[in-house]
Amino acid sequence: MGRYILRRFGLMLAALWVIVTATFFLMHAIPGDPFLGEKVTEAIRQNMLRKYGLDKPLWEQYVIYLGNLLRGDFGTSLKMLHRSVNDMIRDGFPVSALLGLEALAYAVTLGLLLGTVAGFRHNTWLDYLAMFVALIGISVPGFIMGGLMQYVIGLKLRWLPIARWEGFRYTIMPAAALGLGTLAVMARMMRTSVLEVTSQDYIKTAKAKGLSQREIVFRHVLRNAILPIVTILGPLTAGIVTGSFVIELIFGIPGLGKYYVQSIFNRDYTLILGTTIFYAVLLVFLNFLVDVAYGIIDPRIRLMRSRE
Amino acid sequence: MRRVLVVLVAALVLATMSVGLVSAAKPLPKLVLLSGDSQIARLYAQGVQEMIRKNLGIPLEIEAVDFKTRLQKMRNKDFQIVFAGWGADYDDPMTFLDMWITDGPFNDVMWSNPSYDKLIQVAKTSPDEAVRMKAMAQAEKILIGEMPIAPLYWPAWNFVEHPYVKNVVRKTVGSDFEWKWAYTEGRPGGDKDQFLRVNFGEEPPDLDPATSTDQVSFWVINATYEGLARKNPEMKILQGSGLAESWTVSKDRKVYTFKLRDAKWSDGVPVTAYDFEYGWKRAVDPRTASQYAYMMYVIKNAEKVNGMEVPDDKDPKKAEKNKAIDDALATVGVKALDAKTLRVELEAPTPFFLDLITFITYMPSPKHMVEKLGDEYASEVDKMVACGPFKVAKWQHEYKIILEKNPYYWDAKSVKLQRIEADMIKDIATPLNMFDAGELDLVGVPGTYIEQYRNKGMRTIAEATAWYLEFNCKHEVFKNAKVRKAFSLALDRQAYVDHVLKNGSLPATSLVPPTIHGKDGVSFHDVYVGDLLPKKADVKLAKQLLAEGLAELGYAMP
Amino acid sequence: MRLASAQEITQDMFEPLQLGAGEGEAITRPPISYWREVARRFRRNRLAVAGLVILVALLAFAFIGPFLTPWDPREQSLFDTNKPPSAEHWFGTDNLGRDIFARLCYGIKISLFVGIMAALIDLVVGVIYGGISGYFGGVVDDVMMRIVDILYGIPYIIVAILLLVVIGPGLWSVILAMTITGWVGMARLVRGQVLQLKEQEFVLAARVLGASHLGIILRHLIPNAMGVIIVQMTFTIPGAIFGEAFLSFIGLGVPLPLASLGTMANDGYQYLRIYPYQLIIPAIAIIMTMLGFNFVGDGLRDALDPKLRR
Repeated sequence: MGRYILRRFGLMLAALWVIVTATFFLMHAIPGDPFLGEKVTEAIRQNMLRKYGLDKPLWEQYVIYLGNLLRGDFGTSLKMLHRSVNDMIRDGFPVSALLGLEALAYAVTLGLLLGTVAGFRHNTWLDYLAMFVALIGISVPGFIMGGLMQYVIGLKLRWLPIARWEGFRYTIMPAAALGLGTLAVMARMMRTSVLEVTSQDYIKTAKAKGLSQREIVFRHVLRNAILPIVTILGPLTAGIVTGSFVIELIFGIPGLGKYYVQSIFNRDYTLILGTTIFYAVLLVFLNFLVDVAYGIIDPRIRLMRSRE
Repeated sequence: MRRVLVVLVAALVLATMSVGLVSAAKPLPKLVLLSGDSQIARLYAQGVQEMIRKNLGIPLEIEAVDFKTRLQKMRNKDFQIVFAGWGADYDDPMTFLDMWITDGPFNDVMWSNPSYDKLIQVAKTSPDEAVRMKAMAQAEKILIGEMPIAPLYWPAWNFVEHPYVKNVVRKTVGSDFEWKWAYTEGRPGGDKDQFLRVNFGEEPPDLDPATSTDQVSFWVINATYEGLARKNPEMKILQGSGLAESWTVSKDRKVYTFKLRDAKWSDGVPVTAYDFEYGWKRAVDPRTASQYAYMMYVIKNAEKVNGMEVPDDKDPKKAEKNKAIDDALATVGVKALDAKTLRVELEAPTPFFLDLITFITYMPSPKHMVEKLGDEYASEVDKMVACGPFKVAKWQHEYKIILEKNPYYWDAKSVKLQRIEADMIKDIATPLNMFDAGELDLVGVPGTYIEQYRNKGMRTIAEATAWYLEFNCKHEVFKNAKVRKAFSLALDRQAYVDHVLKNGSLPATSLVPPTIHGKDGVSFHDVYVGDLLPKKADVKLAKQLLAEGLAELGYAMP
Repeated sequence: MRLASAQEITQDMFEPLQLGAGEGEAITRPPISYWREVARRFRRNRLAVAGLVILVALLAFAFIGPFLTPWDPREQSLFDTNKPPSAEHWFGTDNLGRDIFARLCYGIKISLFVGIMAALIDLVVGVIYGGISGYFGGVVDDVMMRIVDILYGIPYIIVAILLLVVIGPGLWSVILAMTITGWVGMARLVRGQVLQLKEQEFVLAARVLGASHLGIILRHLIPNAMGVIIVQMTFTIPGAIFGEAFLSFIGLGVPLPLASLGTMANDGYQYLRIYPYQLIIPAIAIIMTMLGFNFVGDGLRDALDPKLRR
């Protein structure tokens, strides 16, 4: 296990290096720079580029950046000249993570429920209804769904706050809107998984043994059907806890999501790199966790790995 | 695939022509309008496209790119026509006119006219207001006559406030919102607690007045700082309206002497003339790298110093070069004679200098704080002080900023508001929903929502901004002034503002907006310039000019 | 069985069969091919059939619609802006006075084009990449999969936006932005399938008979993985249409004068509170497209999976 982790760790570092390098050179290929502005004269712009070390040859900037990165320093944002990227991520991530986890909680609970119902009632109207409800979630673009929810539930019905981030009540609507896509993925995977498991021999055996329907469902079907879902939970979580541009924009939430879009439009090089690296690290880490979790849930995998 | 074909055909045609087989006029090349990529920018560009298609029969293509790409293309002169705008920095026509001089830093169209340059020079150096106005009006007529830019509209800004919101002033130049005199009366729930809830739309990127450049930061700085003067609600600059109690001007109008009043920073330290000298020199110092440093160029030697070379960390002559900058800074025309007296010497008599002193870059810097904190100054609530009506009390980055009344402000008795709470919500619809639900007191109304708020107390304010089409005067087609004029005349400006913009904007019949004042507080446009362009399209004349222009260039009519 | 020539068949080769009383029961279900079985199961899934009907209807609308309306999707009329649906303009006009019915036909075509192109590119790249990786295994597989891991680790939004800003706007830029990391999912899927299939006897047989690597991948492995691949494609198409809608939202959608369902919905979203029809119409089209593809995809998956046979 120790060697396995070490190997994974090495690969992870290599992957991160490639991501940093690719992003670094790609973003410098975009026209413009952080200090290009409608009212910035060419002389002043050159002066600013010099002050922030952006006049140096690209490779030199790259080496400097890598050096800072190794010390865990993402540098100063080139748009918010008084803020460090580390601070921006530190402030924004907990917000996005909280929202994302709440969304994930809604999505997983409801998604698994719908998927299970659909799976057990295959090709009945209940199946169709469950899948229809689940699919509505990924059929409406986020900005339309978010905007409509805000208008109807927030403004017209006044059930929930329209926007801002002041407590649990403020999280419900954005989390629900954010979770809809994941809900559909969950429901659909669970349905297929349940269908697959119920056709397995051991379920027939269990039935033959005379186990109650309840026991079969909970002890055999669900436990096994949930396995494939655990594998996709890694990337799904990484995607959802790093924030959503659309949802955070519409509901006025101070999360990480907007940085992914705005940093590029602002040519905020340090912020582009910082958020990219943060996302990549989180993803790799969560995938690793999933692998470990998978080993715990499914004994067959553990066996195979020890043989390796 | 189609593009490849077009290129192939074009290459073929070019090849045939170059060997002289075709004697007829060349076909018109593909003409492209460069525009921003926002929803609204695309809409506005398509409106122009339609007018050109309908009135000239020319299919204009639109290239919509993001803001910085558009700017970079403009700087690289890599465009044919670009949709661009310019907002006034100060209340004088010069803010719109000096950019078009030969090789001016923002003259992206590469237009050049010696008489124009001369007139601008006259207007910049003459101490006589009447002479200046005449020169600038004449310059604008030359500019519009040759049409390197075709003014299209003067935008308006709309907002709604609940009826209990009183006295929020919106300036047309500089920092738009002035909260100093605002209060509420009749707010449901009572007026005992005087506060306003507004939306700033985004995080203020830089609250240090010496380096700040953006609108949101300007709102905050205008509320939390005060310069030598503060514009009154009627936009007039009166003696004693700011931190200067009074001032005198020398006979040649080049030296101003300001007498400061007793005032304190929000930490109790007195505001002195030294803070002004320090702040202004800091903005001019090239090592500060202030983007708005050029606003200080009217001060003697400021431009020269700002253009000096900043040494690199590894520069062997670093100490020498730094010393040269320090020495040069001492020659800049701003000097605190004592704690209460500030002497400012200008490069030339500049009548709008008094307008400039209300500009954000001209605010004082608290020397005692900035020297200690350096670049960290104004990065957090506990790293900044205020000398204006309000101070920053709470700053949740990217979420909310709360301003509170500054008890140390010299005119605190005039400030009725106890608190301003500002959200940073960028979405367009969300703040309107919050306004309707009573969660915001005042909110901007974007063009698409105007119909809904028109009869609900919406206020329309003309901005000191102009939007125009810039023609690349070195482009093979647009180097011809007749073609440029034809494009300008094909624009139905009135229909455009009525049917495309629909937000109370005005058709631009010249460049300098009517909101900009000339001598004695009259509108420069109305009194000195008048309508240089028709409000409606003149299709006949446009087509005639186009035919003449294209014939001169050897192109066929489309 | 092959007959040498039709002429060799003569009447006397046949003799009439007497059908006995009990023999009727001996005839079992006719053997049906894999694909016919799939079709049969697909037809039994009412949701999947509904999805197919929706898609056909959308396509018909997009291609027949332009012949029913006199309006050109690009023609503006600055004096007829924001007209509600009427006899003249069936779906009303937008903020530039363009006929929404005509634009919708056009938008569906563009959106479908983006989606299908993205899916095809994903298919080609993913199948080749995944096929090679899975078939050769070992070091090749290891290296290729690590590259996939890296691509997987870059946030999709950042890559797409960076790319679009670097190469500039264009229909193909948008498609490229959709596919630049999109093919990774397909590659993983194909690799997994190939890994399973290549251990089976028919592959061994082909190898023994001297088939080339490419031949085995193309003729034996990929066709057998086709079911899974098709299912994946039915999800890639709506994904790309959705992705384009998001790019439109941040201003990077298909360039003018093109219009997609995404740009139309985004335009309409701005007018939600005043002219709701401008949002509702393209939104319904998007939802139908999404539901159509997803229902069909789900139905196909069920139908293709022999384990789900009941």
